[in-house]
Amino acid sequence: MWFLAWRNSSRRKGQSVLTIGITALTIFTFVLIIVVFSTVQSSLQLSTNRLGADLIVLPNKAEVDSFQTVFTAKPSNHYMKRDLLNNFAGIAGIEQMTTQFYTQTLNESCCSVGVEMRLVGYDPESDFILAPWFVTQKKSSLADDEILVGARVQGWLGNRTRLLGENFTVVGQLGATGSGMDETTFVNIATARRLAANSQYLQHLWTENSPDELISSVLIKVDTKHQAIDIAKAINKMQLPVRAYATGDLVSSIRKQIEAIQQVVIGIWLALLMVAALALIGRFTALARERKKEIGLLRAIGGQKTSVFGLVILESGILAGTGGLLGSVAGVLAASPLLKLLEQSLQLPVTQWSLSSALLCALWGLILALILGLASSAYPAWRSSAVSPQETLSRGELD
Amino acid sequence: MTICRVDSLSKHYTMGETVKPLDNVSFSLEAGDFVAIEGPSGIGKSTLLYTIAGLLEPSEGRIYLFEKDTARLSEKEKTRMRAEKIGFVFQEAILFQALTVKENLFFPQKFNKKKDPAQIAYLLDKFGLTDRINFLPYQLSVGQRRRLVIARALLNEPMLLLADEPTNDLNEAWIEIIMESLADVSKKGGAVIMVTHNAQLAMQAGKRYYLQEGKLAAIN
Repeated sequence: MWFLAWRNSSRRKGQSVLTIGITALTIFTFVLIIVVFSTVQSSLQLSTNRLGADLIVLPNKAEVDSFQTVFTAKPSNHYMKRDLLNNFAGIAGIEQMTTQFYTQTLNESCCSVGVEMRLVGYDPESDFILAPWFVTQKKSSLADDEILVGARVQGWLGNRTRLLGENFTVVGQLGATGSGMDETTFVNIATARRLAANSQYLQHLWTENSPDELISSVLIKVDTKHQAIDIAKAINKMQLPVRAYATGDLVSSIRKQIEAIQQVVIGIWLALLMVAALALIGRFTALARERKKEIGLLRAIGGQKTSVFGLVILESGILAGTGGLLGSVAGVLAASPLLKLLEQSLQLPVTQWSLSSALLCALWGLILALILGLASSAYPAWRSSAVSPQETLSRGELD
Repeated sequence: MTICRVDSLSKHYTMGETVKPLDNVSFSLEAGDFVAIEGPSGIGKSTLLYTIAGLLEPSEGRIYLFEKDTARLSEKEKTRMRAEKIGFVFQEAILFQALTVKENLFFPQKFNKKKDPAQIAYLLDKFGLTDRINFLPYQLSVGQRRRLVIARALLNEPMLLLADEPTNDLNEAWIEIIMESLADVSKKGGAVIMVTHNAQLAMQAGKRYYLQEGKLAAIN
């Protein structure tokens, strides 16, 4: 039956294109949806896992966006006094605590980067965020003229670069985290403060306090006996001009929003799937009806009922499989630009879209297409095989 | 050997009113017989052929093919018998539209134990289709399509050939060739039932019957 099914599919082009088109469109949207949502979900999970800190304490100011601070590398020039740190010393459950000072590169002649991005000063005395990298590199800290770049900062390794009027050597690149760290450049905290203090473009930030008296964030690792959320509550109760955020909580609130959108999108897609299934049932029923005489002929020349059933199923498999393959490939190809667009427009953290993920999504798309095709053609196939050969040949004709 | 025996066969349909195209029909075909069944259009000649071929169930009576009671055969066995021993020329030239001329002949052999490319080449040549082997049915003339379905019916060298108006759409020269081919089946020990409303063609058959109002009468 394979031979006849293949010839029917390949030589009845008009009919085949329509069926393939319906399937391809359905699978294309399916692949895009699973790619986008699974990537965003896994990115959020990865961010939680790799962020390194359970809590982040930021200045409690209207302009401070905790999500943007954690998940993007946009400049965040917000500060609080470093002596606020003393208030946290007595809180039980804090295993490690470190501070960071944020400044930024500029789209000016002072910086060879050419874009505005966050420049983070880490505290070598207390840091536990970058520490794993230093351990693997057998290095104790960054010298005053050294920088360390995030996974997605391109093309700097081994080069010298100029930031806020000073020359630096790139000494390494961090692994991907799915967070704003990936696009951040790190220097030691003293260097960051010096750069900020000396930059003519940033002087407006130091009217009340000098950079040496300020920090941008406090990162806290909680011990295993305590919950991050409880410590965040304890800090927030202190009535200090700061706000503590449990990073897991931050991620889960974003996840809830995404899940809500996801449910709506999946609902719309299910409606599309139903429409596609009905359209395909219509297509395969019409296909079986148009070929009623051929099906009767098939029975007359020796084809069993199972041959007729198999013919319709095989043909639908070929068409749905082709549609599924095209839809999957198109979905996978469209996924990367779409993820980039999402990342840029929504400022969502997005992990790298790997070949294995692409193949997995394409495989799922293909499986779904085959299920869709087979489910849609099962009834027409059964009807075609059940009808008597004489009826299919002459439909009750007496002569 | 009795190839086909029809015993008190009746067939009726209910389509608003009850129609009885076959009413207590009996006849038999021995090896070497060439039978013509005549009668006006719409009288039930095709119904008789479909019923003999097992494509339609009789309302009453028995049909014995190759000395086997078809009522006792399973659907599968009847289908296998059609594939291996019966050739059928339908009144309408029904072909697989997505298959070429050559493929339309090759494909039925999948259901048959006989696989004979030489026989295909012979029939294509005999019916003037050699230069059309890669044509699809819609690219053929009506007459070419008719010749192709006859070639297909003869392909498995059937013991019983059921031909429903086989010479429709053909010119005199081709009618002669087709009639010779049908006669060859009976000469080789098979049997042929040809349905026609053309009395002149019917005269070429060894036995003639006339079907009217469900009754089959022999013509002397």
